[in-house]
Amino acid sequence: MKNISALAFTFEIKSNGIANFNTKPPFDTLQWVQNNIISNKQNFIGGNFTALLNTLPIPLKSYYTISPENTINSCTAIGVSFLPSFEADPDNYPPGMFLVTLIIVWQTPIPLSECVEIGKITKGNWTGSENQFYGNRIIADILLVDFTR
Amino acid sequence: MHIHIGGHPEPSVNDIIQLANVNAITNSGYTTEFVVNENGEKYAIVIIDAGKAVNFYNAYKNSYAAPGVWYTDTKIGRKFYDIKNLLMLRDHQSELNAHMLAQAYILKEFKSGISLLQQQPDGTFHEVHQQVIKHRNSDPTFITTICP
Repeated sequence: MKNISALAFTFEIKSNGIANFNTKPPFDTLQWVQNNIISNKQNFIGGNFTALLNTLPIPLKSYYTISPENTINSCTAIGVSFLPSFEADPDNYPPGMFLVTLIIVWQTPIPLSECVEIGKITKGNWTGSENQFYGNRIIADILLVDFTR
Repeated sequence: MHIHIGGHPEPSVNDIIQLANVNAITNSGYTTEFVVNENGEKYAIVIIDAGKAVNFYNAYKNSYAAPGVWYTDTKIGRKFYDIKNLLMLRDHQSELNAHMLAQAYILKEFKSGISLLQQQPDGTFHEVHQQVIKHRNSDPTFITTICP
């Protein structure tokens, strides 16, 4: 019985990114994201982020801004996860298990100072402030982090 | 040695990968690259473990794009931007500092065999070491060390 419980638990982490001990079949976040977001990303590109947020079956919990080397002081994208900020760390998972992280690339880069101002208050947790601030931004591309690369 | 005009002052991803690559291919003992920025700040990247540098090169040579940014949808890119973001939001580092410290963190965390050194006011170069101590259910602690 112990073995069965352990197996159910690890499967739950891998597929959901959220661990719980209930016995109903786990919701597979990765598969859902691949089927509904990545495979259909043309439906979201060119639209605002709110449209994508409204389709998510579970709410976002954390995010990080992406300001690459060649675009100082600009946030060109954000990475979003379904776990709280500090726990959304793939290093916390056993080998072979990974975390669903979506990269949302903006059509127009956002001044990084504005993103940091909000982020310092919410500490990287996804809240109503982020919904409001990022919701009307237009999506240029959507990527799924591949932890094997 | 080369000069960075504009952009981030410290050695770029491109500099790091190329140093590892040249060292691996030529086995020439070419182990150090100096970078000077327009403000006169000087940095160096030094191979301290050639074997690890080769492994790092082979593992991540396809994880970056010219002119020197980690792909955002890779494991190393995710870690880099997540740590940079945490340093800005929770440790109140400037964007430039956070970028440099995140680079130092990545070199250590991904066992690159390469160290990032920064010139100090007395002219000597010292390794920049960035740690993130994880705590369950509370904020992480950031420790930046300029090694002696």
